[in-house]
Amino acid sequence: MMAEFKPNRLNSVVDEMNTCTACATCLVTCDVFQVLQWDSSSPRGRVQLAYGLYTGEIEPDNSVLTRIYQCTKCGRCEQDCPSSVKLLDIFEAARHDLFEAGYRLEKYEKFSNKILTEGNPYNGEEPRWKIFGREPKERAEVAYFMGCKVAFQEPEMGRATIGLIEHLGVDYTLLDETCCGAPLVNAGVSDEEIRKIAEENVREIENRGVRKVIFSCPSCMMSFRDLYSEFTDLPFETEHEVEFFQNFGLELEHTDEKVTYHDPCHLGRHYGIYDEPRKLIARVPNINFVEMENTREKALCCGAGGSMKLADKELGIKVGEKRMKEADGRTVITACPNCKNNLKISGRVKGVSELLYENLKKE
Amino acid sequence: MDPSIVKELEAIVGPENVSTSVADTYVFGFDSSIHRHKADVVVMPVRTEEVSDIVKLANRHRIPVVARGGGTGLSGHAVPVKGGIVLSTRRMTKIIDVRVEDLYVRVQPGIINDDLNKVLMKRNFYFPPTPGSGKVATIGGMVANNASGMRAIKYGATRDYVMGMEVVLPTGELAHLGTRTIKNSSGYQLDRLIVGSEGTLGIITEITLRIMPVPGNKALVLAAFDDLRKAGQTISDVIAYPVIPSAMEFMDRTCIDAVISAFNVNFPHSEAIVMIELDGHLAEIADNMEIVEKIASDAGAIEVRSSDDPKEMAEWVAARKAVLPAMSAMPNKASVALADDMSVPISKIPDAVVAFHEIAKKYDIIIATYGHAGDGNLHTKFLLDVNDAKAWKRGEAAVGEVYAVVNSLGGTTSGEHGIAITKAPYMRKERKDTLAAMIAIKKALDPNNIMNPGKLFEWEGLILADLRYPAEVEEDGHPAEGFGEGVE
Ligand SMILES: Cc1cc2nc3c(=O)[nH]c(=O)nc-3n(C[C@H](O)[C@H](O)[C@H](O)COP(=O)(O)OP(=O)(O)OC[C@H]3O[C@@H](n4cnc5c(N)ncnc54)[C@H](O)[C@@H]3O)c2cc1C
Ligand code: SF4
Ligand code: SF4
Repeated sequence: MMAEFKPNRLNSVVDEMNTCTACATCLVTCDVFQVLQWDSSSPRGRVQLAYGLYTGEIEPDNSVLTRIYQCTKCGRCEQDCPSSVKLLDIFEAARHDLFEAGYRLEKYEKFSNKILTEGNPYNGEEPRWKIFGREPKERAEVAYFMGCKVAFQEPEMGRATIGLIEHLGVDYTLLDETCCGAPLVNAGVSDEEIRKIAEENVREIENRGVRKVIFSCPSCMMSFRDLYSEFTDLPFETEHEVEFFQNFGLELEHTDEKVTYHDPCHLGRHYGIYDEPRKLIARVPNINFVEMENTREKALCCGAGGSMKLADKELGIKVGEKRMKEADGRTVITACPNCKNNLKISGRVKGVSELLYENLKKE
Repeated sequence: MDPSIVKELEAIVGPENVSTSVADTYVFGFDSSIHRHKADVVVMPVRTEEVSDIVKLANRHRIPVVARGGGTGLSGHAVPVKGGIVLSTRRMTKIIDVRVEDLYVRVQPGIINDDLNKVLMKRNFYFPPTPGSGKVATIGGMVANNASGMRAIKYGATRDYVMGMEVVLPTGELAHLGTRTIKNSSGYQLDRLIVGSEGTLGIITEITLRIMPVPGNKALVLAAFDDLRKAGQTISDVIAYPVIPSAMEFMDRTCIDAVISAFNVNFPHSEAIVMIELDGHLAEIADNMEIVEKIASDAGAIEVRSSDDPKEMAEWVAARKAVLPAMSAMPNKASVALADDMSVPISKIPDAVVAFHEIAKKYDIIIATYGHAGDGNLHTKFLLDVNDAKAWKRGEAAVGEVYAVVNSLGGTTSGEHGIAITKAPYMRKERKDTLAAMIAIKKALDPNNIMNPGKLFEWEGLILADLRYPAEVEEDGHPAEGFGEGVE
């Protein structure tokens, strides 16, 4: 149902929109704009659309919705903006107000409904731990929150992570988890719904006496660290697996595989975790590692963030292709199931945990 | 827009390169200025013939056509104030021919300055007039605005590099202006007429640019002063010596305080900082460095630093570039493009800056002044509460006084950004004895007035029109105050 559009959350980012000097710096490094070349698909263009929605000058029709959602939320624009405009806050506010008023792209609506009713968007019917044949323990030191993408679309990443955790003899458990809620934020679903999910996931972990939760998916980790903490206390630590595995010795086989590393936006740009995955890759003896042209803060996006492929699948694939060109035929190692899932359309990709697990020294 | 015209446009460039969507017509109505106005349709041609067909169609139906490159104009250049067709050159980005042996490169207009230079640098050549917006501004937009950058003092402006061009005239016919030779005395220099014409005389579809070898080494001298006049003295003395630096940048106290407070930059607290870049052979740089240091000390600098360490130099340059973000960090105020790039004779810089400070005080706004002091080109940043109509009106009045000062000092309204809307009333006054000639040229080339109409001498209103900010500013029917008639 379409209600009158009200700029409820956009009202809170007016100063940010006014601060934008329209200098266009953010056009240079937005992968979406670089692919589409329409100014309306640029970060500056999206800020302007948000402004038009705020003032009521434009109707939120399909063209506006599409442009607003043609964004991977990679954060590159915000990182590069000379005026420190909080672009992601503006984009999230626009998505929120659109969704609230019922202006929804059909695929986001379906995806969100599925998450809200089934706990995941991928028709996953059985509990995730079942896929991996391991029942949750009543109590454990560490929990592995695998996320929907690992469970239902990239299970080999999960298998590798679980394999490593078990190899290291860690007291751990899988969980009766529900979707972390990141795709709901991407769609613009209200805080109330997200609060429920946050509480459910946090309670599930808390009840098992867990002290540390580890993630394969940087976006799931971001939900816990940045989003849940707004609604509830987190009575445990959170760590990405590339941080977690730093603390352990691993005996690894030689390989002469030619690899490179893709920095996931949420892990790198958002949390500054650049060195840890590289250190893990470097542990594999003899590995032939070369950086891509654009790495770390300057890394290109994989094309799958922000649930953008729901708005424009082809665009997501093209952004991924652009990234994979920089790999120049090397296997791309990454630390995010979303990145892997999209990049593998255009070349060979594996997770850091997969690389380590497949090269573990056989006893 | 009449659907049959949209159909015809689609037939020319393909439906995927035409849009009348709400999102596209809205966003293509903005540039980097304070203005915006919705377009009726956006087209993205690839080839010259397509541009020609679009313009013929527009001319037949009397529809405005506004060329748009990077959309970084600071005075509303690419804003379609009369609606119509916005013609984006984003798909016209080819480098047609690089001829280092003939000292030229031929390009399509949509290529971005830095992208072109990346290619030229591989051959140890470049196109020098890099503007601050070089990562986003297109060569077509730079030619149309006669853009330049901080190295203009030694390397000139875009106009000094344009050898020839292909233009689709407002009737749709193709004209080849200029040449591919270094010298050319063959009749009217019509290519020069198109330089700075702001899209009002035709659409540039190809440009032949002169290129230069990349200069060798660089060094920087940074001098801080407790008195603006001492800074001005240094600037004049360096040039009169003569040492022609590759750049000479200036910052006033407002800028210095802002970068120190926002980014803890290691600059001396002072009234003015002048940063002088020297380039050339090592021995020449060393000699000039000594001369410049002495000139600054003799003029009474409170601190003089020099460096040829790339890292240190990069830090100083970054601090100079931090002016804009530092301004944006000021609470409850936004930096807006008003009176942003006047030029005065080099020796008049201190007079201008002192006067701007007084005007800022009078109207209770913040005016930060910095710029390319070596060529007399100053940039002012106005900081206002953009939600407040009264602040805008005070800003507008201050703009009028700023230009009155600029003109009384023998300066000009725009040194590099151009006129379009935001500076139109002031340019009209400054150039009143050439307006008739400009209008006659425009009429001769564009009889139906379809090319970027309503700009420059045609802009009728005040400057606070079609604002892209929330404040509702009422026009009171009088051009900004404070602009004396006795303009030199
Ligand atoms: C942060 C920032 C820094 C800047 N720094 C500088 C600086 O240092 N020096 C400087 O000179 N300017 C500077 N500018 C201003 C601006 O970048 C220049 O005026 C630039 O030349 C505009 O190029 P564009 O491609 O963005 O043109 P647009 O803004 O798209 O268009 C500018 C004008 O050119 C016309 N035009 C564009 N393409 C064509 C074509 N093919 N044929 C005919 N007309 C055409 C348009 O109709 C319009 O009138 C700066 C701007 C910003 C935002
Ligand atoms: S870089 Fe920042 S200030 Fe510049 S256009 Fe983008 S959002 Fe606006
Ligand atoms: S977040 Fe990434 S995709 Fe979205 S506008 Fe910014 S740079 Fe582009």
